[in-house]
Order: sequence, then C-alpha cells, then structure tokens
Amino acid sequence: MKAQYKIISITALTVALAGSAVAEEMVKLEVELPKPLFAGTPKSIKTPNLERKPEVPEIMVPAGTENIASGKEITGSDDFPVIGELEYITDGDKDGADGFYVELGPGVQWVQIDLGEKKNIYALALWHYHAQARAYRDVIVQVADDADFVENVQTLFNNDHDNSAGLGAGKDKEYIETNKGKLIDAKGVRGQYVRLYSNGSTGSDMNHYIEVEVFGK
Amino acid sequence: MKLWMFTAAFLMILFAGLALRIPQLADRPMHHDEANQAYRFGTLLENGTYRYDADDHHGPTLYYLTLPIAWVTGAQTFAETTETTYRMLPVLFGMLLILCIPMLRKGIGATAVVAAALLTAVSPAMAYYSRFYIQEILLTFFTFITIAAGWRSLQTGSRTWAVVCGLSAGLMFATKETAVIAYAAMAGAGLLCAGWSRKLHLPLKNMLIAAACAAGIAGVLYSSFFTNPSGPLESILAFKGYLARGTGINTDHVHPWNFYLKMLTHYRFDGGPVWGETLIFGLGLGGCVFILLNRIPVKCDPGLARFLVFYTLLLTAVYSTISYKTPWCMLSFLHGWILLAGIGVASMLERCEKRRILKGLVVVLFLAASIRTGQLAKRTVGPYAADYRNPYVYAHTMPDFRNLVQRINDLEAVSAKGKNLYIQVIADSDEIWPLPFYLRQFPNVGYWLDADSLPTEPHPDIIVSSADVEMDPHQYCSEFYGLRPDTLLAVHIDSELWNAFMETRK
Repeated sequence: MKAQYKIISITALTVALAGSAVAEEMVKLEVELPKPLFAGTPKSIKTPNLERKPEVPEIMVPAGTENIASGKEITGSDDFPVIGELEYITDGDKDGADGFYVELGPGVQWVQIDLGEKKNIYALALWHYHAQARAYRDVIVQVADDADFVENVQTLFNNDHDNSAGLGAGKDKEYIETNKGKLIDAKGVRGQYVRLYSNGSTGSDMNHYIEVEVFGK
Repeated sequence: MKLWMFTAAFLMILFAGLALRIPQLADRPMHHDEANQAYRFGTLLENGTYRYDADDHHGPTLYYLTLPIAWVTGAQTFAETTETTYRMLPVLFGMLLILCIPMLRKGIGATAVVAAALLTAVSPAMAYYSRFYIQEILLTFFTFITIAAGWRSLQTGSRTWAVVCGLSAGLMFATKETAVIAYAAMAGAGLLCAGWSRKLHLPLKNMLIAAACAAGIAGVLYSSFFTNPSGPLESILAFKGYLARGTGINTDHVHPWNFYLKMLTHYRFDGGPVWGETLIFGLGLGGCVFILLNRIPVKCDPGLARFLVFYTLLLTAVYSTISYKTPWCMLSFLHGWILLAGIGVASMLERCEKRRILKGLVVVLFLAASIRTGQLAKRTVGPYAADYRNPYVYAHTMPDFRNLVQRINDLEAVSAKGKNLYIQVIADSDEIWPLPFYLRQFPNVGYWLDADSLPTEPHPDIIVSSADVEMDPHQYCSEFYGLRPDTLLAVHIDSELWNAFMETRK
C-alpha cells in the first residue's frame, strides 16, 4: 500500500513538474488606474428636464381592451397622503405638475385599485413623479382575487432586486421615469385587485403617483 | 453699553453661532466642489506638495490652512480624512468672523457691533457656508480684517495695523483671485468718501507697507513657498478665464441680475419654504439711510459708515451685474449689509434713547426677528441642507448618493477582497464627483471617460457609470442612484458578488 502511494505521488510530482516546464511564467496583472479628472462647479438644474429616452414595449391586446381602472376605488397603505389625494391615480390626468400627483410617506408604500370584479388584464401603465429624472425603487405590481392579497397573487413586475421590500427579489430592471410612463405586459392575468408598491426613489424617500391605467376587459 | 452686558451678549451670540455651525457637520453629502478641494488637499497632505492650478481651484489658503486640522486629528493620508476634517476650517473662520467684529467697536459703536455679530451668527447664508469646504467664508473673513485693520491704521497711523491690513489683503487674493472685485469696491468706496467729504487722506508710507505685505504673502503662497516660481504669474494670467466667465462665456452659471436680490429678499422654489435674508437687508437699507442722512449714533464714525455704504452698494452692484453667479459669491457683500444693519439697529435705538418703552420694543422686535432668522438658518443647515429648494443648495449632491456609498460598503463587507475590490468609474468628469472622496479608502479605483477606453482585463467587481451605460444583465446587477437633481448614476455589480451579498439578506 505504502509503495503504491509512493508511486502515485512520484508520478503526480513528475507530471506537475513537466507541466510547469511547459506552462508560461505567470505574473500579477497590473492595470493602470486613471485618476479622476477635475471639473468645475456643475450646472445647477432646477427646471424640469423631460428629454429622456424611454423604452416603450409594443404589447398586443385583444380588440375592445380599455382602461378598466378609470374612476375605480383606490385605497393605499398611507391613510393621510402628504400631498394630494389617492383619487388622482385614476382620474385620467397624467400631468406631472403640482396638484396632479399624490405623495405618500417614506418607506415601502402601496396603492390598490379595486376593479369591481375579476377582469382579464393585458397591460398596465403607471406614472410616478416624472418632472425630474428619478428611478423609483422596489416597484412591484401584483394582481390578486382578494383585497388582502392572499388569494391567487400574481406578480406582473418586480424590480426589487435586493428584496428590500420583503416581497421577494425581482429580476425586472430599474428604470428612469419619463412622461411616457412605464408600460408593463400583464399577459392576460385574471384578478380583481391591482396593487402597486414602491419604496422611495433616487430623488427622496417619499413615494409618488400621478396615474395608473389598467388595460383589460 | 456696559462691558458686562457686551460680554454676556457676545458669549450668547458665540453660542448661537456654534449651535448653527457645528452639529451634524458630516451629515450633508459632500458637494462636487468640496470633494474636488478635498482631493487636492489630500495630495498636499500625502506628498507635501501643492502647485497652483488656475483651472477652478482658486488660491492656496484653503489647502494650507487645512493642514493643521489634519495634523490635530491625526490624519496622515487622504483616506484617513473625513468630512469633518475639511468642514472644521470654514466653521473656524465662520466663528472668527463673529469674534473679530469688535475690531470695529470704536468705529461703529458697541451696539452696532453686537447687532452685527448676532446677524452674522444667525444669517442662513453665513451659517450654511460656514459648514462648506470652499473658499468663500475665508475670503469674507480676510476681507473684513482688511477693512477693519485698514480703518484702524488710518485712524491711528499705526504701522502694525497697516501690516495686518496688507497681510489680510494678500490673503484675500491668495484665497480667491476674484478678490480683485472687493479691492475695486474698496477703492471706489474710498474715492466716493473722499468726494463726499472733499478730503483725501493718503498715508502713503503705510499704504506702501500694506501693499508690500499683500504682495509678499500672496507671492509666497502662490509660489508654494518658492517651489513654484511661476505660480504668482499664473494667478494673474488666470484673470483671462475669469473675465470670460464673468461675461458669461464658457460657463453654465449665467443668471439674471436679480439672482442675489431674490435670495436677499424673497426666494421660493417648487413649493418649498420661503427663504430670505430680509432682516439683514431691511435693516441694512435702513442703516444706509441713517448714514447718508448723517443720523447715526454719536459713537459711529461717519467716514467709516459712509465707506461701508459705498463699498457694500458697489460690491452688490458688481456681483449682480456679472453674468457668472453662484450663491456663495454673495457672502462678501452680505457681510457688508450685516455691518450696515448693525449701524441701522444702533441708529434706531439711539433715536429712541429718551423713549424707554419704544426702545424696549425695538430691542424685543429685533431679537424676535433674529430668532426667526436663526430658525430659518437651522432649517437651512439641517433638514434642507441638500434640498434643491434651498437657494444656497446649488448643483448639490443628493442625499440618495449616500445610498450608493452604503451599497459599495455593503459589498466590500461580503467580498473576500475587502477594500481591494476593483471598481471602474465610467462617466464624464462632471458626473464623478464626489465619488473620489467617498472611494478614497479603496485603492483599486480607476476613472474613465467612456467604455471604449476600458481595459478588457481584469473583470471589474463594481462599475459606477453614467445612467445611460448598460451592462449585460447576466453578468451584472444594475441599480440607479441620485447624484444631483436630474443626474443619476448607475451601479453595476458583478453577479457573483451580488449573489454573495444577497446570501447575507436571507
């Protein structure tokens, strides 16, 4: 046994030495790291800049599909919005100016639309505050059969990649808000309640909604 | 005013000044300009060398004067410095500005000195920029000492005060080249005073001594203590760029004539609170009227008072006329208005001397208004310190930027490489600051202007880029963070590193 072990060891060592004789000499890669360039005081932007290039997907929906959220009942996690009213979310107005958006408190907040009955949902469009370049965090859109979101909960969109909202990590990408809103393919899921989450933005810890449209029939 | 009253009042004013300048000094994220300056100081701290650079770094005093603070705090490298290391310098000069106002006691009287000191302490702009690592509060301090020492020398013929005046004037220029605007305003005010009184008093010997001291100290500092002989000349040649910028060429900071006037009176943006230095400006205007009508207190020197009127008006007019404007430039003429406001308060009180109830009412109203101003200052340096609706917040780093820094620290904590993570920054030079300050403890950080110039190996652990740079989602997890209003950065995290981080969140 010992002899066999010795033979194996010698063989392995011979192979290793032979291999190293053939392989190139390895040295640590040194990358030149450029230093930061100085720059003067940047421009102070205190006016809206809507010149952003959103990616708007093309979604095919059955004929007769319409916005079934218009005028529907809205509830939310924040009973006393800081600015505006929850009703702004389905009033049909997508203007980003003061008086057209609702501001909810900091942290994870949600708004919920009751469609009145179970509907087939093909797409959803949502507008957060877009008068400034912002990316809202933990944007999660779910559909369920009940108001407490226990039955048949389906997730349409989730960009909470670090699970900071506690609803599971999502794979969807963060995006920068524009006046074109965010169009989400709902793939015809069926449900009565639509809930939208967010957890502040790159602009502040507060949460904002201008409008939500739910396309279905 | 009795000495004990003066002393007690001054101590309370100093306390108020400290209360607005010291607390939570590190809370506000570093501004682009602060981080630039800090980086330059870091080079001086580590290498012991400084070389004047006319491109947007102004004079050397800010860097040299930070050295003692770094030494006292034990920082030997840039990585060991903190926000507090840097911001303690403007705090110190902000407090010195209050402490030195009694230099004018014989010129404007004790009551005016106390009033001016109180207004300096509680002014939102003065408090805000006394916590900001840029040259402005240093320039304002040296400007004040130049005027105060110059007046003292003029009154007494003192050569010592002439030397102090000269050194301060030189330090003005060694702080910021645009000190020449203040020089011009002082010269203009002097001529107007001479015209008014039809008397021209030129103590030539002391003026020459002062000029020599000014040139000497500025020369020593711009030459980096004689190691960079071309420095002083370059500081003069820099005027070509400043003149262009002043007329609005090659600059993003062109604003209308009433830019500063709005901040002095009534400023409100995007539904935010109302700001203004209304108490100071209003009392200052009142002071102007009292001075020009010669209804000032007996203890107030009319010549000095008129000089302050002309100097402040000229400086305000010049800065308002120049196309290039940034909020911090108002400090110099704001301090002039504060001194005039002090004389205004003293004048009102003297006119009420025989009417005690009215005098008491004026004191109460002034104190109440000062407290209101102090409350606004508290909001300015506190909850609104980085809020874009604050008029003194200009191209400022957003609070969300700290989340970017925290994320990198979170990743460092889970990586076997620790602080040796390889970080690539791909962005224009105006999109990277204050990153170099916040990544100062990471030795493997490189800054590239575009993705085309990136090395292919090794594979970076983290990429920080402008928001329009996209990475392969199979290789990187990407997040957005706010840098400034309307400017986002993207952070792309290597998938393996990200998975290691997510394991800690289960």
